Amino acid sequence: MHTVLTRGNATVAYSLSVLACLTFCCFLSTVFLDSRTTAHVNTVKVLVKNVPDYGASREKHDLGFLTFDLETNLTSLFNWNVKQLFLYLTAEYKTPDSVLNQVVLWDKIILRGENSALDFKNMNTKYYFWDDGNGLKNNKNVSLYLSWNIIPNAGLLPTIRSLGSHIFKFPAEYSIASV
Amino acid sequence: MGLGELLQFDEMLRDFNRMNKRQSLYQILSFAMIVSSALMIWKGLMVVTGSESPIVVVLSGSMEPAFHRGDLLFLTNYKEEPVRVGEIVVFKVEGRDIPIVHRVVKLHEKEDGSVKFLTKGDNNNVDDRGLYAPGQLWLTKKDIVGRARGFLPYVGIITIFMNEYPKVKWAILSILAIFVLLHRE
Amino acid sequence: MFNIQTHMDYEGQHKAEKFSRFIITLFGIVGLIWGAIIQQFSQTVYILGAGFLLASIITIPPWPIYRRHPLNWQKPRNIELPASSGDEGKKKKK
Repeated sequence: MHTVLTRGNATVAYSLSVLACLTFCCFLSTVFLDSRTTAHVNTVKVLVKNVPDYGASREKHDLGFLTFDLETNLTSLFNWNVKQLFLYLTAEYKTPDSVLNQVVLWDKIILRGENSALDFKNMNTKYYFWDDGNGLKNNKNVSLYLSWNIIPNAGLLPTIRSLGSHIFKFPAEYSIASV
Repeated sequence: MGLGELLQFDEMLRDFNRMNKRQSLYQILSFAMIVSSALMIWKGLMVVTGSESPIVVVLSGSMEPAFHRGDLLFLTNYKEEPVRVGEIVVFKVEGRDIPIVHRVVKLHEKEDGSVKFLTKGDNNNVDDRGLYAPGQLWLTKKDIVGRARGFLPYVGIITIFMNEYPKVKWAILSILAIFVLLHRE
Repeated sequence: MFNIQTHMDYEGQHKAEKFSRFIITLFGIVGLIWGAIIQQFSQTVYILGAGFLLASIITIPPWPIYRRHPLNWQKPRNIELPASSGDEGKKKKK
């Protein structure tokens, strides 16, 4: 501590280590919290078409259309180490080709402080529901559920699936009419 | 302040002149120690996490507002852990040097465990097919460098700054090296 | 030129270090508790920043309270050797 420079350096270094320590305390105080909650998902209208997928292979693939209701309250998930929630609605199903297919149909970013009690009715999906083949028509077991990825101020990045999902089926016929 | 720094540097040089052989060897050894322990920690992390680059700095704003430029991500890459939709992965694309940090939005897994998936940046309007190599429609497990597990804000901004101004980088590095080599406790 | 005194005496250096540690630690703990109460980590960081500024102001400049115990050097015995002014800084460092 003999010159101004060394004293300044020591003060900055000590402040930074205290900051690191505080951040770690904040991380520790939130890492074991349970961030699961229920979300109610419901489909309103479901149909399937068979059209060429120009985004991918240009072959005719199944393209699902649906509208959904979503109701959940995520206010309890926010604490002082949550910067943002990334919500996403996943459709999960099985086809003869693949044992597991997951397609994100809709997502939403909720920053801390924004409204986190959601109640959507008859929402359109944000992304196309393309299958990687023709596995949607007459698929009896497609589950739709909400998940979230917690973005902290500093810490882990868990992805958590909500409690409660909705199972629906696609019609046995392709629809021709435009939606 | 400039004067003070100059004086200190002067003092350091005087220190250096007073050093005998044993002392200067000791300085060099302690410098080598710093370099090698940094390397050791990095390689050790590689073994523990299974990822070829266990810590990455976010370089673009395509995942805003979750990640900003300069945020630090800790990655793991365990082969037996399945990839799932919603996860944030870091992947490399042929013909691009810089790995990309984006989220998995679509995934198809075959019976034999082979999996193909599509990614998208939270802040982008379209998926990443335009970023992949020409003709490439899907990513597979071998493209993954790691999956984001931990997050630390702002810390990586120094590396971004140093990469954008290489001269500053070399200046800082050489000043640090000179300081370590010449300074006596 | 500017003859700004930047030295503290030994006791002053000890005191300055003690003060700066104390201030920063105190602000850090208070900030953590306050941040936890209102659930805003940014407040914790701001309070720590305030502590850093305060510690910088109080302990970095060599205020008079850090120079109350100057060393009593012996009078130089050989007056004909003039090279004694540069030694001071060096001795203090060790």
